[in-house]
Amino acid sequence: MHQKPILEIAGVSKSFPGVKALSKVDLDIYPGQVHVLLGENGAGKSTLIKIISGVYTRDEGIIKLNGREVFFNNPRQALNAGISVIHQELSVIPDLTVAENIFLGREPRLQRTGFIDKKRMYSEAGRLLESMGVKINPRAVIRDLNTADRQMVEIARAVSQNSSIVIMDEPTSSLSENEVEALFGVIERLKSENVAIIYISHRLKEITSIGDVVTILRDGCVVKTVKIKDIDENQMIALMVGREITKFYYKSEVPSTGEIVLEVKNYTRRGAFEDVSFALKKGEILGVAGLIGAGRTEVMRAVFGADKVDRGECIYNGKPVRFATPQQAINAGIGFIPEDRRNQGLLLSKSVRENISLASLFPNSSKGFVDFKWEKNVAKEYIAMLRIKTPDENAVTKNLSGGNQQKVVIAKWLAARSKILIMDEPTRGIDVNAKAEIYAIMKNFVENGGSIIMVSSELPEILGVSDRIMVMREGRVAGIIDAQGATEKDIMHLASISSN
Amino acid sequence: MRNFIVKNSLKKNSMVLFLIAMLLISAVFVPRFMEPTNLVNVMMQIAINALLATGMTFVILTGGIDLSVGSVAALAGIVSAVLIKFFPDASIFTSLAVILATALVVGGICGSIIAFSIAKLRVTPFIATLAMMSVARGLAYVYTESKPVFGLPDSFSWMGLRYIGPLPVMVIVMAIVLISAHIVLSNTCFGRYVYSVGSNEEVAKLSGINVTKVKFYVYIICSILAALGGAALASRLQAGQPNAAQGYELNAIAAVAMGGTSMSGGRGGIAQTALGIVIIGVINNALSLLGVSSYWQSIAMGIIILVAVVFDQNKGE
Repeated sequence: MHQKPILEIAGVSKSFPGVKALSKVDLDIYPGQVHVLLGENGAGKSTLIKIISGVYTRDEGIIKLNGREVFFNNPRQALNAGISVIHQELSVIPDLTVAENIFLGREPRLQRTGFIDKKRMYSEAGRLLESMGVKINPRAVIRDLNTADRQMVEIARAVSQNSSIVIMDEPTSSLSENEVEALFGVIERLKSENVAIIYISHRLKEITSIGDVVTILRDGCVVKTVKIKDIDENQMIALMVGREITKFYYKSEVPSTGEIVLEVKNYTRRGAFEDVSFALKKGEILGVAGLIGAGRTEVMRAVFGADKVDRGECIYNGKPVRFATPQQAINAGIGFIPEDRRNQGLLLSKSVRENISLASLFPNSSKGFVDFKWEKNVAKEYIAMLRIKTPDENAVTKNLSGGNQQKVVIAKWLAARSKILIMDEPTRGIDVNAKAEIYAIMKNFVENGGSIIMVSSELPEILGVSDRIMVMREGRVAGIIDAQGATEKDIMHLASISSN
Repeated sequence: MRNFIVKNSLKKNSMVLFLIAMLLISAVFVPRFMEPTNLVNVMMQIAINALLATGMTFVILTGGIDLSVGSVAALAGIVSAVLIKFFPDASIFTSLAVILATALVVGGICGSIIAFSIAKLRVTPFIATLAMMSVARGLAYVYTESKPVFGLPDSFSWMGLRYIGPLPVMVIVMAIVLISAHIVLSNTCFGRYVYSVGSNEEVAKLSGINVTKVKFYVYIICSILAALGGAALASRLQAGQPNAAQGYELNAIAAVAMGGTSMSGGRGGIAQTALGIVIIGVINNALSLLGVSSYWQSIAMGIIILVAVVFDQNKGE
């Protein structure tokens, strides 16, 4: 490298009670480069960026910024030194406007009075968003924006801080393909302005297209730092997990009998989705693709009875039903794994046991009294069956890794003897190994006569796992295609080309 | 399991330690504190707050709050006094029946209105119960023309003043209520649903729990226990007074908070609340025996609650 690194990390270690999160990590970050950190959950990526951005302090080692050693005691100090972070969990404030969020804590002031210069704030925010190529009104309140737009605001905030290092922690996990493109445009611009970017993502395809250098971490240690063009995806996976994964996606080998278990006809809710019709066969995985905001989640929540439907029919096992509450759907044998497992899928502060039993507590009780013996056994059974990594069934769910948390959500529905699972982004934010395990669980489920509807924004996943694929666009079904022989291009075509 | 017990008992222990410290200090510095009659007296004094705080625990565990319990108690006190006057020669049994019926009817009606506003009309618990606090108190004054209801039959005071063996009836009532509530919260599906709704309402809903129904029940339970407390208070005072139970809602909330139940719901329980009630009772009693004026008691109580909760939170981390 001809340039001098802007950030030098040498021999940095960090321990938490009982865990060595990082051990002797060396890393050099150069300006104008996208440096990718890759590793399974728990490999130490998050700890490393938290040390760089001042959330944690290091136990040992040296961090030099522009050649001078630095110690950050809090994120503000790191920010002032030119390091900004785009967090995985959105940190925008819902009740403020877009511009207010972008300039939070450093609002432009009127010289004389010291009040906020609103005019300047909004015009600057407008210019910034426009330069990023996104259509977001700076006066819009965050609450009214969808997840993808919120993420773009978060990115705009980090960009506007004129930092010399921008850390992006899974910035694309809630973005659709179009917005990812916009983000990549922003990244290219930052690179041309000589900004260093530290980029964390589980999406290998993305990494190969945007990254310059990749550092692979495993169990708190650096395994390898290499130029992206000198490595391929399979090698990256192998380095990450420490072995070659021979089979990643799993498709059921038992052909579906073709018997229709669930049929939705003309489901409509004004403003959300219109005339949605599809059928789910016994023993199949129906993938649901589409851009963010296409109405996929809304339809699934409505089928499950969590939200209202204005019009439409639903036929379940040959009988007309329309679930008005999740309770009815659950009693009929449907389980729902929501996209946001931390806020919708799990009682984070409760134990693994209490989460697994939650949906089947009453049917297994004796006259309303909890059967503690049953509960303990069922929890242990699924911890073993799904290989959930937890000290025991009484561990608090919050402390589990993302993949294991997702397995707990799945266990809840298996314990409730669900025959149909609706899975919304089942592998979001989960590492490669856990993903493969979840695909295996899904395969096993459908081979035993269950059916799955899987909403996903990851096209390789949709193509790799589904038997048939329903593509949604702007609240309508754009098409239902056979996964056999379908390509990413086919899906994107249906998902993004407007019919008018 | 062991980890769970250790953690839990540690969390409980910090308050148990606090209680032990309070007891020791009182035993040493407060004359007559350790005498059996005084200890029974403490139990007697906390009994009514215990009923209100038990109901409050259900509500707070779902992440709600009920500001109306003092007013509902006062209204129930009036209603029970008015009713018992129809039976001048009432037996103990009749008196008890009147008290229970009042609790169920007054509590049931007030609780249903609150629950309906919160669960169906989506009014926030703070506002819905604030409204009920105002209405119930107003009703108590309007009906009595702000005069106490006197001249109640002797048997009416059995629950509030009499003893079974060495124990006051009220203490037995308190024990029954606390134990039943504990069993409901920790051993039934309903109890688990209460915690689930408080931990995360959306998760509870998507797991098939009827959130509306759970909320309905907790507010009704809370109002019924408040009404029972109010009727018991009337029994003890031998009168229905419209200005009774003033500020009791705050004592109840203080006891729940003191025990370590989370104000945002999902964590805590009856054992913790019971501890909070006893601590508050011991402090009040000790200060009274020392001849501290009730104004100074109020100041001391506020400071002690703050200190205890801060102490507990730091220990929990």
